[in-house]
Amino acid sequence: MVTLTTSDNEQFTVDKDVAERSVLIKQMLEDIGDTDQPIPLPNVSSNVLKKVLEYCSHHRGDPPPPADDAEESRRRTTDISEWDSRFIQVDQEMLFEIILAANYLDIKPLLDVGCKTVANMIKGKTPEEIRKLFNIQNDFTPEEEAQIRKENEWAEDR
Amino acid sequence: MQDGDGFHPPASALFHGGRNAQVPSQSPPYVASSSSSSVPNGRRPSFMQPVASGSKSAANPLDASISPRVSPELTLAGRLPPYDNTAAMASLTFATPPVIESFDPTQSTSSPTHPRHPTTSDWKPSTPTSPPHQQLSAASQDSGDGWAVVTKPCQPRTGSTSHDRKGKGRSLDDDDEDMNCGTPESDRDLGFFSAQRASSRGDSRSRSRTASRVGSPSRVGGDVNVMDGHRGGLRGVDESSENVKNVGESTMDTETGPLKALIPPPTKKLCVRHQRMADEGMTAKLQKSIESLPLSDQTAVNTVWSLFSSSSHSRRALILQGILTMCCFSQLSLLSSELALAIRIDPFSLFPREVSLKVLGHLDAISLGRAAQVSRSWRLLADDDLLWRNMCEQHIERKCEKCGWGLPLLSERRRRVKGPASQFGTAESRQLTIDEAPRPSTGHLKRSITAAANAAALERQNRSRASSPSAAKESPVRNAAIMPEGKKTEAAESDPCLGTSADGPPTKRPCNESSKGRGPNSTASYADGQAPDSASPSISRQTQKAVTAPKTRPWKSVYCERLVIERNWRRGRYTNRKLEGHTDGIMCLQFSENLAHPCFPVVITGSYDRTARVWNLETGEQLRVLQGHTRGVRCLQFDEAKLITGSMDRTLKIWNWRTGALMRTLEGHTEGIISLHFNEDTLASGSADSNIKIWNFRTGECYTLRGHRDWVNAVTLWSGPGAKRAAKVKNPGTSESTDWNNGQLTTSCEENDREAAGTFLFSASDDGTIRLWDLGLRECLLVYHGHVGQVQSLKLVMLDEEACRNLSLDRPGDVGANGRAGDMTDDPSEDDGDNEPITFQEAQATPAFTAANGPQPPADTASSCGYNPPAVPGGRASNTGPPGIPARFYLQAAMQRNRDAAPTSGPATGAHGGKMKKRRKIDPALLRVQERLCAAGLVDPLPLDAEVEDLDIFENRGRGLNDPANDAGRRSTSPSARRSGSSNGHHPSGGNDEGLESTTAASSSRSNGATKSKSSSPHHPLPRPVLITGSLDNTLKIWDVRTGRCLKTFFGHVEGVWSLDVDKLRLVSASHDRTIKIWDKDTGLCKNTLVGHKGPVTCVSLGDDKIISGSDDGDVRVWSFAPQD
Repeated sequence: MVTLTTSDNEQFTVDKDVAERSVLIKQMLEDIGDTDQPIPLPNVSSNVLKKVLEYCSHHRGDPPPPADDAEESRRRTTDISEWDSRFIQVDQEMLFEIILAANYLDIKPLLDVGCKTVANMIKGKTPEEIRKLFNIQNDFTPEEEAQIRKENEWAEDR
Repeated sequence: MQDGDGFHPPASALFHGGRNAQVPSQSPPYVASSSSSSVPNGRRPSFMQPVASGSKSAANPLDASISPRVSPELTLAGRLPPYDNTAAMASLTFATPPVIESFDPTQSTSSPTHPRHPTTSDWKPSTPTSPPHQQLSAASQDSGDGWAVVTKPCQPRTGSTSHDRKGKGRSLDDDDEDMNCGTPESDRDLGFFSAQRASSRGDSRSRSRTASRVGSPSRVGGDVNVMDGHRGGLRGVDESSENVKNVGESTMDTETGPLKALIPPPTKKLCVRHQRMADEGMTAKLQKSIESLPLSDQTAVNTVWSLFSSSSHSRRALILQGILTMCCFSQLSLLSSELALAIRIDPFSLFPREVSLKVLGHLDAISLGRAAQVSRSWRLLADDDLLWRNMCEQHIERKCEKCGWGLPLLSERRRRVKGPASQFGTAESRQLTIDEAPRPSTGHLKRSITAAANAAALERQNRSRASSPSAAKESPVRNAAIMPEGKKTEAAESDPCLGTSADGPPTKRPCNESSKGRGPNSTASYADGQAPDSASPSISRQTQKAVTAPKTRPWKSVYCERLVIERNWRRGRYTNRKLEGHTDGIMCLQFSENLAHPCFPVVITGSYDRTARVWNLETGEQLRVLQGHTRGVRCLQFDEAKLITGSMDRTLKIWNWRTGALMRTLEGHTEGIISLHFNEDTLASGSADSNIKIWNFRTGECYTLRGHRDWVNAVTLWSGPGAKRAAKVKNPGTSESTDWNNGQLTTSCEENDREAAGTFLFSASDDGTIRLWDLGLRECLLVYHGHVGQVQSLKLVMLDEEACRNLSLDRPGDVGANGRAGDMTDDPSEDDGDNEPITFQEAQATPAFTAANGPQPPADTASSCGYNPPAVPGGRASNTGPPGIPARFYLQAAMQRNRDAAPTSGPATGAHGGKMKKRRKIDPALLRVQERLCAAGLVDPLPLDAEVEDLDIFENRGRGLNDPANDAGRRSTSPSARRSGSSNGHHPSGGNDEGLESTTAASSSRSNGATKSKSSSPHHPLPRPVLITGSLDNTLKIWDVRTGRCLKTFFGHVEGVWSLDVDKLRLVSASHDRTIKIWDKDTGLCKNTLVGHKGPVTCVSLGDDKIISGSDDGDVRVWSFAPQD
């Protein structure tokens, strides 16, 4: 069992194999050996960690990702397993927090799922729709915007 | 202390723009104390019925009726220990405007129905203008929880609420401490002003951040509580952030204790929401709104905000829940609409760059193009060169697995670029480029792309190899893996645009080479000078830094340029022009865009007018007329050095096409020459005398292959790396078998022509068959039956497993059509009734010899489909039209067969839920083909105990049809197979030697794996050689080379097909019906039909952005899909 302490000082005690879905924790455990001391995760808050651990325990038995997984994930975009896609159905803020946590904890499959999800949100939308989706200010000057639109004309020309 | 995390500033600052005597960290507790202590249980009922208890007036929180007195209540609510929640809520209840009005905590906290007129003036007398600072600060220090901040406006009227709270502030504070110690604030906070609240523990960074954002109190933690830092309104100022930070750190030190050592240094991480809050128009709006209120209301509102902001996470939640409970629907809908927007966050403002790029890496090009238009920061990300390089790698010269798009390579000379960037490349890519540097030969771009892709792949491979043993953590982002090098280079080179792509270089083209500059002149002048080709690499190699950093185009523009062309292809937008000059029907043509000289693309055509003509494709100008043949020119092929033409006058002529000089005439055939094909040292010619002659350029030897029984319309040589090696070794004594792991057969065969070992030849004939010849043995290995008309043309391509499967799977209509190919091999489902292991032998009529000797394959079982074309005894079969059988019929037939077959195979029905097929041996003849091809390095070896399934995609197809789930399961169980398959497709291998080389190299490396994992994965992930043929029976067919199976038939032409051409992306066919059809070669769908020729189209050639066709009407037409300027 491994105890994890979140940034808001909550403690989670989980099985080692669950915790070790995180390469960061795995390596930490390797470095310091078995310890009763809780592992601090100052970059992760409790509600996010809760989600992340949910993922980890569901995928605890997964085989390690293949070596050239990067290549693989690059090609197959949108195939997110059913469980994963349900899991990742959270509001934006939680989604992004999960991604950041996955990045920090180095849980590659979770990071992939998150990134794919965000990509799917962006896909097929017009710039304006994207701005709306993420509440982004259009900070181009009109001239810049015109020029950029021209540069990317091909993207509109279906 | 702790103010840093307190929120107060905005509100108070709003109306105290100047100096504020704020009481940090103190007021809530102490303000609250009075009410807390005085909250009687009796209030609970009123909590339950908030409206009833108080007032009916509007529940507008900003209502003018709010008085400072409210704040104690709120604060109290926020601060009450959990067990007193109800009481807290009760207080909240009273805080609704109406109630507030009526409620004076200092007088009576117990009754909700207290007279409601106290005015703010009531407070004045009772409260000191400002609380005693010393005391407050002491209290705040005591609390130590980080939330105690506060903003108590120091206005006379509203100043601190009441003195009697002071006394109790302490005790409350203590409470707080107890409660908060264990629950420091998290970074993550979506509360409106939460940013100001620093997380309490170990999070000094958030504290400083917060402070800087909103403008926190200037001094904290000391004795001085007076705030003077607030001049910026909501936007605040951050003069005090340093202080805050320091305080925060010191606090943390004392609190975190032993764990601290383990905690990595805090990174910069802002609350998701508040990173950009200060920028929003919202603040300005709020400012305006609040300014319009009477002073007292301003104070009230501010107080509410302040208290909220100074609350801990959990307390905020509590407060919000209370407020929510109080809200009427109108407020709820306000909330809901505000929330809908407020909850949205720009992900890329949060993510580190590599994560953002990873997200973008999942996008298609069009989405990327749009993403670039969102905002500046998005643009920087979406235009990332590495991203686009990956995009190019995925699409150029291959079909993207994701989107099904492939882009042309565009290896035209004008587009070529000597990749100067290669100097930065990996050793591999550098090697490649340097090797080619001296010879300004063709296809640089192609090679470069390949080199780039290979280099990238290699790099990845190395990296993963290096990292895997040590179990080092793999870079979480692929991009990141490449970045370091890119960065290095970037540092070394001043040109930043080279940075990220430096490790996979040379596709880039000089910027100065305008992509639009299609004018022949500009092109010619540029391309003519060999300087860019030969000079730059050597120069740059020597004086990398001295030479101005080569200008390269961004990958994005490389991509877009091709996308435009691909779009034109897809939408059938083309321009058409004619090359006129021939006086009789054109029978053959070839064009080349990659010649070293001349600089323009060249077309050579052959015609029944007895001439061959050389054209400048750029201008349409006729450069030369080659006269000499006494009858029509039926076939031709040229390379850099020579042109060989074959004529109905029974001769072959070799020309110097640049000068027009006739070099040599080859005679030998007894009838006209219909087809020819040559490679480095071998020339094959097919004749109307039914024979094929093989001419050896080096030895001068010529021999004849006999077998066809009618005109030989097409010949194609096919040689693997084995052939070259054998030729180079030139030692007939040693067979090359040692080089190939199952070479035993090679040695067992008696080779007639050791030099030609490893070279094969396909031929297509008017007798309706295609034959595969082994030039080493000088015999026919396999005959492909299926066409019911004269076979006029053939092309060899490599398709990967997946494509083959899809080809044979995807369209139900083809089940029957394919079934017709059963004259080679019967549909397994039909033969499964008896559980005898069957071999192809029975169904097949030994392909090589029997067929060669005459007997036609038995009228096949496909008659069940209702379409049983007559056999083609003499090759002159009647030209049957396309079968009028609807696709549904085929499907039904197939299903019926399957249904019939299933029960009979009873005992074998097993674990897979579908029919389990008996293991079946491969027909010896097919085995022989396989072994010969394998020995030549053209296909991968079969496992030792290979079965039919291992060889025949159709067997797999059948299985997939019967039990898709099983098939899917099997696919998913062999990810390695899939991966290798797809990664193989990664090398844009042309149909040339290089392509073959790369595939075979991959094959040998993979064969071991395939053998090992055979039990789990019976698939061969390698590209399969397939043959595409066009026939006067109006159809095109795709054949599996090794089994002789027809994988797919393309219907559509209404008259015979004379010619076809194919590249990585598409297939074009020219027909007697005067049209040219463009097909998706993976699905067999006709994408476009080009109409214009006035006579039968006899020859066609496919380029990256054009089709060139010749017709019986004597015209050459160029169909250009390039963008028009």
